[in-house]
Amino acid sequence: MTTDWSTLWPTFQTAIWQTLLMAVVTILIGGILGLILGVALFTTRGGGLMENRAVNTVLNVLVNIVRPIPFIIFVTAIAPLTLQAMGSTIGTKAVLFPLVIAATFGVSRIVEQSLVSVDPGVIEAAEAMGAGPWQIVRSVLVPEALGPLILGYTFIFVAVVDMTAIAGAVGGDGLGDFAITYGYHRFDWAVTWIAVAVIIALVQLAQFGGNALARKALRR
Amino acid sequence: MTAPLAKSTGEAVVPPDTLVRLESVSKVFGKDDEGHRALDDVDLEIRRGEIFAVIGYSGAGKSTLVRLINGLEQTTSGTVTVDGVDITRLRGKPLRAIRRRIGMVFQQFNLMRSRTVFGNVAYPLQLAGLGRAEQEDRVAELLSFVGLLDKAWTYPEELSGGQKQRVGIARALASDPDLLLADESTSALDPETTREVLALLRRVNEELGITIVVITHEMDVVRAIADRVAVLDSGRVVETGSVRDILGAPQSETTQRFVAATVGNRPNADRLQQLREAYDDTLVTVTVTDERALGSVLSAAARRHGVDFEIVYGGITDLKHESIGSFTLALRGPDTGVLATVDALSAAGTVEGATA
Ligand SMILES: Nc1ncnc2c1ncn2[C@@H]1O[C@H](COP(=O)(O)OP(=O)(O)O)[C@@H](O)[C@H]1O
Ligand SMILES: [Mg+2]
Repeated sequence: MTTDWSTLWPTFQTAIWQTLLMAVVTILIGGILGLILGVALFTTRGGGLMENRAVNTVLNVLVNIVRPIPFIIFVTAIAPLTLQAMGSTIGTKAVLFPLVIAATFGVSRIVEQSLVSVDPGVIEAAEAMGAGPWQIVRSVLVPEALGPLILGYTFIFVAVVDMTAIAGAVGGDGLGDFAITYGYHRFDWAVTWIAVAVIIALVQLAQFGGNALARKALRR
Repeated sequence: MTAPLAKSTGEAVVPPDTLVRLESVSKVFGKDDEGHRALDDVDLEIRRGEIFAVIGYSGAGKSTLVRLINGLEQTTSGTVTVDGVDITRLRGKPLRAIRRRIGMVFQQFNLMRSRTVFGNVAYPLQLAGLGRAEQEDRVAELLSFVGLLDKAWTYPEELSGGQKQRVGIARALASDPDLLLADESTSALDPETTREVLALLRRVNEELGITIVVITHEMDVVRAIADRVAVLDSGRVVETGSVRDILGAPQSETTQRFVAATVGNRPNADRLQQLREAYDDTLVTVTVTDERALGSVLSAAARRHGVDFEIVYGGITDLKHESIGSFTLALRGPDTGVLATVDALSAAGTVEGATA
């Protein structure tokens, strides 16, 4: 069987852009929300800058409930919410809603772990110099954890690309949808493989970029 | 460099020469009844302009004590007063304002890896809201004071331990403090570097007039820079006094062990027993701060009382401004002569163990 690339090519290009758009928007919004949630998880711990047992417990339980749900199930489970928020459950825009939420929770743990790696002595030094909790978050925690944070965000970006592909199976657009519709359903392995190749290239590119940035932050 | 830590608001709680006062301070970690009592009813007074040392073994509560002085830790009971301000119940902004006027130096230096030497020293200045030009002037001043101006643009990981600690000291001085807290500031350093850092701390005290609280587990550190010292044992202050008095005549067992470890010139119990067996004569240990006085007493004893003496143990220990000599002597001669010699020695110093 031969593939008619002349008709498929524009669709393929659109699919690439849709995947990129979903991944980038998700990592931006989910990244910021996840940073806030992760900082909250870290600072409200016992002995933390803004120690608060109750808040910490609630946040932890929430993250522990949401994070382990397989994304394909998560998308369908919160479909009613998605419908409320985005007015639809299909298409690139609609799928952003579950993507951002899933990314937020994933990022929050990564951020928390990165912040744990910051030398507590350095935090104490900043406290001793009279820095307030928010000043410490901004001027000590984030800069000191920048290397692991960049690597963590890269990891999440790769996971988001993966999630966008899954989203293709349940009403999303992008390369996942393209591979399923034009490859899997038509038994056209060439199309599937090319979609896979593009996803791999995307992931490699992101990983190289992330590694380079992290090296720069760590001066190694 | 001596602006008051706080503008006086009302009556001064402490007399002017006391900068820090701890009154009946206890600190319990965990629940009150089953918790760990890290500090137990501590009273201390640190005078303006002095170098005050707190010595104790690991776990004695030294770090807890020093962290109470800048409010990194809160007392369970008792009060901490810094420059007339009761900081015991201060929280949030007013506490942070006080902290900006107290410098702190750490055992592990605690410099930010993500910032250059300049960035680290400038950090407290940024907190204080200084502009870039002012920051540069002040950092240059501080780095020349600690002798690291040429390292301004390097990162801490490229520095030796001693250099890191000098950056730590420059950073602690940035906000023009009246008080510097140094928690085991030389414990991670080799002996040579320790000497350099201690010399720098002395300059901080003498040239800038900054009061320093030095926390250590080494009597050598106390000896080299401190004026007065408190000995902490299991959360209690067992002895306080001038370094000379404590080293010359340690009272508590803990203090005696610390002194023996640094001063090597007093025979321990075993050695003393051996000496008693070896000498039939009167054995006395005399501790003096002026070795010349001892010399004249001994030569007079030989001439006037017909007493021979032999130095069987001893040595001289250097302190910051003076030295302490401790000598164990075997005195030989007529009883009255020996007694007269012991009397004369008592006038020159402290005499122990005049047993025949
Ligand atoms: N945050 C804390 N929580 C519980 N116990 C603590 C805490 N900080 C110190 N301690 C305990 O208090 C005692 C004194 O500790 P510390 O002041 O660090 O001693 P030092 O500095 O003299 O070695 C130790 O037994 C230590 O385990
Ligand atoms: Mg300690």
